[in-house]
Amino acid sequence: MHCTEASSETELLAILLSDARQRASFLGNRRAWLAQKLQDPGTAGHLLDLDAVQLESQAATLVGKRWRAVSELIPESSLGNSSLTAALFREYADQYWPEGHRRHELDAVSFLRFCRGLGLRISTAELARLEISLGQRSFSLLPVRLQCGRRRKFGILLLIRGSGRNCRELLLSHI
Amino acid sequence: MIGIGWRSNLAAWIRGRPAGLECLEIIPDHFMDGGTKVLEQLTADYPLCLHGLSCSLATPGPLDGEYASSMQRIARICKPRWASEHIAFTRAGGIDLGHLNPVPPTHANLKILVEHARELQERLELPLLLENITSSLRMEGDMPENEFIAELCRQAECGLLLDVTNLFINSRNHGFDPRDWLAPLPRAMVRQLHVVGYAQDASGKLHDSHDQLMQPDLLELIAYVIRNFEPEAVILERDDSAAAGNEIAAELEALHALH
Repeated sequence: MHCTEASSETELLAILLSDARQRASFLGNRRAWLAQKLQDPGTAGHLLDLDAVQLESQAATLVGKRWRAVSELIPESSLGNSSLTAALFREYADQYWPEGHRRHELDAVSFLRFCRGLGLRISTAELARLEISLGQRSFSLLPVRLQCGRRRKFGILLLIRGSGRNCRELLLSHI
Repeated sequence: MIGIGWRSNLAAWIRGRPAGLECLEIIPDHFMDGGTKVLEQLTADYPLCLHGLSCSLATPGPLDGEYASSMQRIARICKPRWASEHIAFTRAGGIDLGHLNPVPPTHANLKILVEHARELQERLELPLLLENITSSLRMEGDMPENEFIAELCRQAECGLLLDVTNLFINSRNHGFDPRDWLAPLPRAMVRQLHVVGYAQDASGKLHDSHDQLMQPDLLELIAYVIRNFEPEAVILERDDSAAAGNEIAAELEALHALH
């Protein structure tokens, strides 16, 4: 959620670039939107002249860069999975803007949880690896299916935090 | 000097001291959670420069002390010749947009940028270069963008890191002549270049995807800038994990051929 009162033109631009509903409201009636956000709308006069197409394009660029970074972090979940698309990411992206130098990993974890919440198939191992790397959990035990020749076996995969950001993986047993 | 931005997928190739690679640009974000030994080795092997992504110099209010401190810590380890940051904001009003956005070229924004650039320069105790960005959004202000940038560098006592690809993309997308844009810039202001091929979408718009080979029309502009401004360093900015050493080597060779 964005604060209802901004103090500068730059803050207002950040709101417009990060929230499609706010953009629609702004483009519907720029002066009314500015009057809602600022005590003195005259201080944000340059926003009145913004090109609507350019504004949408810049907003799309920001989300597109996020999607590109996130999709590289979740290949097991996204490759060959027609449900996890750029369009679905756009649907998710307005709700959460991760912060800091590990924002892409935070974004990837948040997006995978969003997808799981919709009942979509994701790689639980990939989600666990990211959570461990971010320090959000220290280990994870996951059932895995293994193909041994013609036979299919089941095993337990232990994911555990190693040194630094590393996530170590051990196959504990198979039956 | 001609070099590349350090990326982990190219680390082994860089360690091999390939021909044509004369310097490296370090992004602090890659070393915020460790990697001190790697940095020390790079410092021993190459001249370095430090390139910040997230100081958000154009955001009103105090400078982002946390990011500046990280830059300071990394600068102490890698002893760069200079540091650089963008003429942009990445954060405002509690929202971290994560990427670079323009502000209108106004006197008010000039004041904010000058103050933040001076403060960062003082904290780092290094010369600071400021970089032009590319943006779909063209914002009008109190002066043309090139005059705004020149005035900013002059008042903040900074050099310009001219991203030639960003200039090329903006000139095509927004319809202006990049050579006219360059005309008012003092020759000594441009100290470093960023270059990389541009991407083009179905609508014909150009983008800075940082994953393309440099195209002939872009190389022409790079050659023009090198001839006219004689920058101290040219950095190839390839971010795609698929970029192989031999491909980068060929790009570096193309840049050497322009000198």
